[in-house]
Amino acid sequence: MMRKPLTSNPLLIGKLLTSLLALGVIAIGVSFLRIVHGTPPPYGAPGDIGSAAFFPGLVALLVTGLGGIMLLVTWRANANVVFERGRTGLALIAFILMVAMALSINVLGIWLVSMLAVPLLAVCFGEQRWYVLLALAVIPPTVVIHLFEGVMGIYFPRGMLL
Amino acid sequence: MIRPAIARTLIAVSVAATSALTGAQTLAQESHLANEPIRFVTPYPAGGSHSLHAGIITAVGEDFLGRPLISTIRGGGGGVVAAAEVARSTPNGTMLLFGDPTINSLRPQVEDLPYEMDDFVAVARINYSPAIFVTTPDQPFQTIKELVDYAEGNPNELVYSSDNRNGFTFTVFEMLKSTAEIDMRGVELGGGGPAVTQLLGGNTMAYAGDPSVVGEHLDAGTLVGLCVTDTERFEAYADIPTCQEEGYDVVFQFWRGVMAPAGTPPEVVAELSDGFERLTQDEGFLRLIGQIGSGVQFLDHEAFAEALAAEQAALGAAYLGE
Amino acid sequence: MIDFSVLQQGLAMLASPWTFLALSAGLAGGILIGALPGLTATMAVAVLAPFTFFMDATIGIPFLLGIYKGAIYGGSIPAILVNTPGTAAAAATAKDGYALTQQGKSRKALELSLYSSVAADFIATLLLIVVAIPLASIAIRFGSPEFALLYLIALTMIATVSGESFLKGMIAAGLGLLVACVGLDPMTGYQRFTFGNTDLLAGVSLIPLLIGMFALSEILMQLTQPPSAEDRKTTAAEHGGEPLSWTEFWALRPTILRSTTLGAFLGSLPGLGAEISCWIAYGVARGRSREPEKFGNGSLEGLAAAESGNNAVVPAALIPMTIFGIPGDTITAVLIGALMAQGMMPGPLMIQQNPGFLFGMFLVLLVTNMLLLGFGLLAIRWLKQVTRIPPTVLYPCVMLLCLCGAYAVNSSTFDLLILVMGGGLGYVMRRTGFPVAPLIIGLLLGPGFESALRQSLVFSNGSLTIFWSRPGSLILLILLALVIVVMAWRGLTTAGIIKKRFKRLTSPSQKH
Repeated sequence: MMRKPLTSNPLLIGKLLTSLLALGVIAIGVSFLRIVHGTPPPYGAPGDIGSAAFFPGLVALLVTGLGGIMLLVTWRANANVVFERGRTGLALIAFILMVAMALSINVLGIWLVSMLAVPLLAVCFGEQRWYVLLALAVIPPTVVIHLFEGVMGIYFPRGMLL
Repeated sequence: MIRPAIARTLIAVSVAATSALTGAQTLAQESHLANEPIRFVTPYPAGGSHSLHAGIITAVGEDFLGRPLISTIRGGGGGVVAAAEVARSTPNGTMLLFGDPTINSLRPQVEDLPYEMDDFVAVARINYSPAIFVTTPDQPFQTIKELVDYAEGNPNELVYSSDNRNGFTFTVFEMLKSTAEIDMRGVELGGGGPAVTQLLGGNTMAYAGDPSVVGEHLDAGTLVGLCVTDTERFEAYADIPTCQEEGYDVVFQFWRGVMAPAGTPPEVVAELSDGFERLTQDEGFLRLIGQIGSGVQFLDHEAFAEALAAEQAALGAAYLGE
Repeated sequence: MIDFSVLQQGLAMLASPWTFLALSAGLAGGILIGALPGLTATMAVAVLAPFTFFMDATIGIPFLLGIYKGAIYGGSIPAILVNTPGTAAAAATAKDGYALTQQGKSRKALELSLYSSVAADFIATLLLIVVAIPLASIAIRFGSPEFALLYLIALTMIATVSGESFLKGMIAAGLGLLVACVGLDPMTGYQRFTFGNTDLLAGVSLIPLLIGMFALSEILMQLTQPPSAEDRKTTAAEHGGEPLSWTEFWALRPTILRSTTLGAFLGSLPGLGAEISCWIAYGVARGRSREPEKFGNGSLEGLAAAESGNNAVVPAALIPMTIFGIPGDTITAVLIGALMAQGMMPGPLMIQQNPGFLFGMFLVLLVTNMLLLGFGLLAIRWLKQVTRIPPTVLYPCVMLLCLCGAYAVNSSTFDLLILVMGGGLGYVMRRTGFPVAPLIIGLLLGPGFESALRQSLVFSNGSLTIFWSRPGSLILLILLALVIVVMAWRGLTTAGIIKKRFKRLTSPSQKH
């Protein structure tokens, strides 16, 4: 199902975005190819099927080539490259929250991170009642952490504070 | 004290548990250990002999060390990831590595790894096992001499199952190749399980591995033992000669031992070593170790450190001296 | 073949009520563990195995088998309800199962997954009682060349799960294969694409990446395009929707039978697990289906194929273990350890000396199946309510579970970064129409294919003839060629390049 187009000219925006993606794919392929074909070749001769460099080299070549094809196909006249619209900004905020969560766990410890991240994500989803947020900060972390530590014997990092 | 609740219940309902739990309780007040659980890190994925030993040690360890032992299985990179992590951890005895010769003696010398040999101090050796060279009954060689003759007559035609580069099997075959001056081709199959499968399926011609991996097949007659990489014969398979007896100087004892990060206070190392010594004398522990086809050859931290230094020097000379 | 004394020995294993209790406790625990993302059957068995060392064998071993089976089934529950496969083996289940939930049919999906799991398991176990030993003797002849070709056949499944765009599917698969190359190469010791990072030596951890790509990206998608209030109301009001009808299930029997046979065969080969067989079963089912366009959009066939494909592996993986003492995968390796600690050494001797054990174990598996059906139905009564939890509560909790589960895999905080990066990547791919499944398949199959290929070349001293000079590999090579020809033919007909000669007949199941 199609939602509202992105701008007044969704086709052009779609084509530009897809081209950008294709360029990204090519960039990944080329950077892996560069490593494999570095001098001296770090993982053995890429042309030798038995070497550690052959398979990654082949796949990187494939990815680069496919990225190129994608770029060409995008600019064909009848290409269907319109994207669905959505609240990308909100998703970006939530993603930043997740990254922060992963990075800070060694410093803040599991308790603080989970008690902050769970209600904050709920806020992203539009929850505003303070008692629900408070409950989310306390109940899920307590239950889940005790489940993992008590039953499975998997101990989480404690951080500097707790 | 935190302890897996399921574990406690399970032990409580089981009848045999009593024999394992009657061991001496250490007195906490005289301890030099930090008052927190000890992470006992197994550097290989679950399922191998290492994790099996670690499972037994951590299941009964608390009564001898006075601290709960948490088994942490941290596989990857052939043990390198776990070793690097333990090497970087706070040296206070709360994180221990269940090490072996490839991780602690061989690979840091011949590979570019994120840790050094000196990043660890020896705590206690639990046991060791030799490798047994084996083949199937339908191969053209049935003794180690015949294998060497075959390899001489057909250079590079003999294909054997290997594990990983610089792994246990890999190393003993390299030793055999260099003392007997022969050429053979090893296929690195990533572990003992696939290696034996390929040998049994007739895809490879020889293998060398831990008695716990090949023992069952030796009993059943599906594999033939050629020689043992130890200075004396292996008790359970006393009819298999040592490689030295047969004239090939291949000795490699695959020990399993506890290592702590360098910088751990000596009194902590000594206390841990004592705790593991009492553990290895416990009846329940010995019974379980016996059931998995293994034994105990305990060395305390001083004797183990000496043995380790000698092994590291010997491996260094063998690999780098050439 | 089965004489009376063997039967008796087998039945003796079931005689004690404690065995039943242990089995039930294991199953219930296993379902819970499997349902938590990140906590896999392997880990559960590995963590709990040491405690069975102190138990009687008739209690400890059924307990572990219960956990094993429960956890494999449990993985499908969050896959269906919140698009978060609890285990890697349930990734294919998420495709159609979650689509059904979004259509308000979560109850139907949960029931179908339970029935096809149990059916597949039951059929596979019966099948194996008859053919275990001949099958095992074929399986052990499989060498690296055969494995390499088998992996290649499995890789062609990428084409069938690519969805609308074959090109995007291929790119996704290529990226998956590249990611799979990261880490220490076991054959040469080279540290490939690790950029000096110690944690990357072990490669990119599969399970955290998988959880991120499915679950975290789902959370981000929910934020981007929340379902309208009306949609939610209908979903919630129906209590998970209609139950699965018998006619619907009966119509799926060819799919279930085919997937079960495939799963049982693949499971008996050491090294190929449920993670791979679910995709092969799914791909084959789509190829044979009369409604392939429904796959990925809530096809009952797809869900049944994925679930029966991964559950049929469970009894089959026990074959290499019991007959050769060789673990088929990590979980059977752990089970071997538990058996050894009980003083039982699986392997050739055990079959000769104690044939009752194998039979007894299969019997225990059959009973476990019955119990699983009961436990599953009980669980579904409550689980279908999950769709009624408001998203403001559900998704933060899902995120917390993902965080804990991803950490639990390796006790590594680096894996949390992989989790989050997987979430970002999955989100970008879903917004831009890249299919996620090919990437997962590439990631799963890449390492196996590469090492099998290179091992084969060591066997043959660098000559490629090894791929057709052996009888087994020749058969597989012909099979591979056939698969590719059929796929190319289908691709060209759908693209309209080759004209369809005749229209497909309507499906026979609709006739009566």
